[in-house]
Amino acid sequence: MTKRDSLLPKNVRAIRALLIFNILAIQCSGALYGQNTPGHFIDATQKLGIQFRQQASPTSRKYLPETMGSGVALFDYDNDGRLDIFLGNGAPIDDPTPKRTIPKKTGPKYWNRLYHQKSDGTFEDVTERAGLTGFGYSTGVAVGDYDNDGFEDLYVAGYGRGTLYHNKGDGTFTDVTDSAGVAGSGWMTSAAWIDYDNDGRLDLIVARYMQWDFDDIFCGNPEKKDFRSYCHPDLFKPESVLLFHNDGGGKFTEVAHRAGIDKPSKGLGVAIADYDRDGWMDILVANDAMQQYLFHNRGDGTFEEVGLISGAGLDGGGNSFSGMGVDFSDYNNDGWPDIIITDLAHQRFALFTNLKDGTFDYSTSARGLAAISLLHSGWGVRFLDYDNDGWKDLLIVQSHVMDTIEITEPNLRYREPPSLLHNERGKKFENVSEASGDVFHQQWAARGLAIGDIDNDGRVDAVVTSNDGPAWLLLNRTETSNHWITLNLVGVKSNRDAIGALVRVVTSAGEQFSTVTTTGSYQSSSDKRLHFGLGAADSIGEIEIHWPSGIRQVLTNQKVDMVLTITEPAESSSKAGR
Amino acid sequence: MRISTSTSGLLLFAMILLASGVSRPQTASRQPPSSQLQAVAQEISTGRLDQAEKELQTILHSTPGEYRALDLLGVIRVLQRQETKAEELFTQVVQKKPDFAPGHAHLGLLNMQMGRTQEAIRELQEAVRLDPTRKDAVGALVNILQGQAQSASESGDWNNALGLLREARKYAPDNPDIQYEFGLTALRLSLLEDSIEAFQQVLQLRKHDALALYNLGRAFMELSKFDEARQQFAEYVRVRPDDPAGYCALGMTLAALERTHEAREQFERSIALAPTQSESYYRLGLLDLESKDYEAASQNLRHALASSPKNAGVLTALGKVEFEQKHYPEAALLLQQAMADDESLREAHYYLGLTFARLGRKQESTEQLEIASRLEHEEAQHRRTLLRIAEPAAVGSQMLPAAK
Repeated sequence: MTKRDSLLPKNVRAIRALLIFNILAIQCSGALYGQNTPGHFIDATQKLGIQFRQQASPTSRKYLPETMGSGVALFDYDNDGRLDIFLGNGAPIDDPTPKRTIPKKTGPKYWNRLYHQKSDGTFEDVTERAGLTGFGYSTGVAVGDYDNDGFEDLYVAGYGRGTLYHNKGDGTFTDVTDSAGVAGSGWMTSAAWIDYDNDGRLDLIVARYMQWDFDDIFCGNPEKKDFRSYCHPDLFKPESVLLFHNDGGGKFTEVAHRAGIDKPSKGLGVAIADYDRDGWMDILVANDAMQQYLFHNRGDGTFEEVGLISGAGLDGGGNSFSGMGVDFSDYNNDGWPDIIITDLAHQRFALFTNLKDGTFDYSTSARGLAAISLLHSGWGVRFLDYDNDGWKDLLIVQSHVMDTIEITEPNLRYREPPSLLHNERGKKFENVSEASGDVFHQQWAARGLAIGDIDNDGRVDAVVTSNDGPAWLLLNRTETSNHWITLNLVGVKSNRDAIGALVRVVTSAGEQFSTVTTTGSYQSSSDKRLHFGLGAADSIGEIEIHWPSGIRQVLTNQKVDMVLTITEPAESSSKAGR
Repeated sequence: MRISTSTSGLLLFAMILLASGVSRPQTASRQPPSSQLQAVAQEISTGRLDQAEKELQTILHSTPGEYRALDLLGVIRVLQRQETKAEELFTQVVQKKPDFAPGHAHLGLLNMQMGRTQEAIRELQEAVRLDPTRKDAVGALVNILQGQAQSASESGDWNNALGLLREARKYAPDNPDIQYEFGLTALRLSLLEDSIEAFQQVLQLRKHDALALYNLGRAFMELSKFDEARQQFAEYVRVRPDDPAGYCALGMTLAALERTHEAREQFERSIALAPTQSESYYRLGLLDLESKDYEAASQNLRHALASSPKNAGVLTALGKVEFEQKHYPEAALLLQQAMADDESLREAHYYLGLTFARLGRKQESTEQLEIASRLEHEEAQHRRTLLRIAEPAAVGSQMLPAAK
């Protein structure tokens, strides 16, 4: 008892002791069983100066690109320590549109947009000055410093053509698509930067949806008035992903066939992680209405597709589903990346838990996601620890793909609110959306989602895009006293972004793992910095980094509640394998 | 086919008599007064056939070929079991007066009685066309169509049965039995929207029809409209609280809606009513399996297996239990047993493929996974057909002109 305490009357001390006991009891209970801590996200879009509307260009023909949306990127393009926002946009589509047309932007309404974050936290539109107005119907966005010059570059996928923008470091970008050889072809969707051969240069993987053209195909029920609908993907042939190997000197070579990754797919989402911890990054492609692909990196420049035999290709009943958004991260803190894939209502979002032997367990029901997702259709999805309790939660943005769904299925909705699911210590996800702010009651035709700590306050924020609608900037205002750390890794021998680096953070509460990546979600690119919620821990015992180069680095006794930049050392801290 | 017996045929004719066209004479010169014909009809209905015939001969003598008199004479011949003569008379009637509905009705009924179904249908349809209010013709027509549909069903010709019942529905939209049979046949053919509409009609006509409720629930289940299905089964168990099948079905909808706790309650109720069944134990086992409670899953599934030792679904689920516990040889054995019972069980092929992969039997694994993939594709196509997402080939005539 302190001297000050002793001055309190005895009965007050007794009451205080009781209160302390109760508080401890509640905390213990929370630690054991988890608490349904709701989040608090606010819509700061208007206040911070974002005025954007994605132009899907809907027609009476119901051309499929009209419902697939465009993505978003959260990245710091000018290295001022604050995240900026890039938003993809559509292009005009004639009604009808002739076959083989590649839509082109015709004016500012269709421009992609770059919003620069100013020192006061508000944003300014710098699109034109930056040279990022764009070319065609933009879909996915991927951020990565492909030339290791210290400035983040941008790949914008699109229908018919992708564009690589080189960041010149002076606030402007140059279109280097043709010289780099990464224009691609077909309907490109999500893209990801990955150093798949660990040569220190970022390669580029681009998912393609399917072989589709502006044919006038009627889908829907001709007997019902006004009921033309978007066609099912089964009507179209699949298309392989593209893999552009970074040859250095600003040149890329398309090597999907050589790498054995050119299986016909209907790719919408891409995520990367080293799921078997062999030191080589693997690739997950979320496919629509067919099996999901997990490309295991053999380490010799080739991949083997192991989706089916690993148990991550189909749901627990052996059914395919409409994979759209994806994240590939360790939700149960066991050090092995797990998989979440969003899909359509009645299919249930697929959660695959890594069994640490190269296989996965379909854990959707066991982790509570079946009941939560039964009537929802998900697109962008990311694991994020919104309340900094040390467990990665889930943020999912939702909407059905069919804008006519309410005619055929009155219990479903085209526009849906996003979902926030709290991770109950890796055992279960609880839906805390209702109590997490007004934004979780809004009806959105959401598509893209990117996450990052926009205001650097230690809480992960988000940007959401919608189909033929606005984008939303959601600031995380969750009340919490939990600690955190954000790690900004800088590669030297490894690629400068450190994409693929596996980080283990150890505190008194346990360990957590994350892999550096900008990809995941749907057609979107998130902050590459790694955010760790630390719960009550006010120091970090150890930070262990396995760099893509093979170098192992260990930092001990680190402070918390800060953004820590870590540069790759020349050699490992000690002898240790991955 | 169910055709009226001669006794019921005679009765039918007695009814026809009362409803015949004699009370509604069609004005023409040299026609006998309708009161005279009505008196004859009255005599026939009271069995005084000789007197009736005498008076009809008098009329026909003064007005040769009078169609109503000929028609009544035909009725007398039917009642005298002189079908051939009756047929000649009715044929004369419809030749002389093609728009005389009773003549067609009587000829149709006679044909029906003589087992000449197609001719009967033709004449009855004509009678109904001329006079849609003729209950005798409508009733007979529906009776024939219903009988034909039943025959078609019994021989497995569901499409034909459905067509006949569809025709019967047109004539008797307020007949709940016809609506029910149509709904059931449509359900067998996976024409779920039609089935649902028919069962809903039954329930409008007979509010708590238990079978209609149950089958309406089934149709909604097939369409993956689980909440609608749940409502039907909930009503069903209210109407039939002692039927274990109802609780099991209700449990299945609740499980599909991920209301697992409530589903479990319903399965347990079903088991309490019928402890030796397999279905509810199987469903409980699946719930346990999803929640990764392998011990409980195994226990419930073994219970189910006791009643249905070769049930492919149960064996597959047990195989999954073993697979998830990494007991691969045991899983392989169970899954192979499942496929011996039902080769088309996709899930068994899928898990056997995964099991073989874990056992290092790559070739066999690939084979099983390929089969599973093919079956899955076929099922997906089937589901889409159910949902009536029209594809270009199926709606070729509906395609809009190609873009220019």
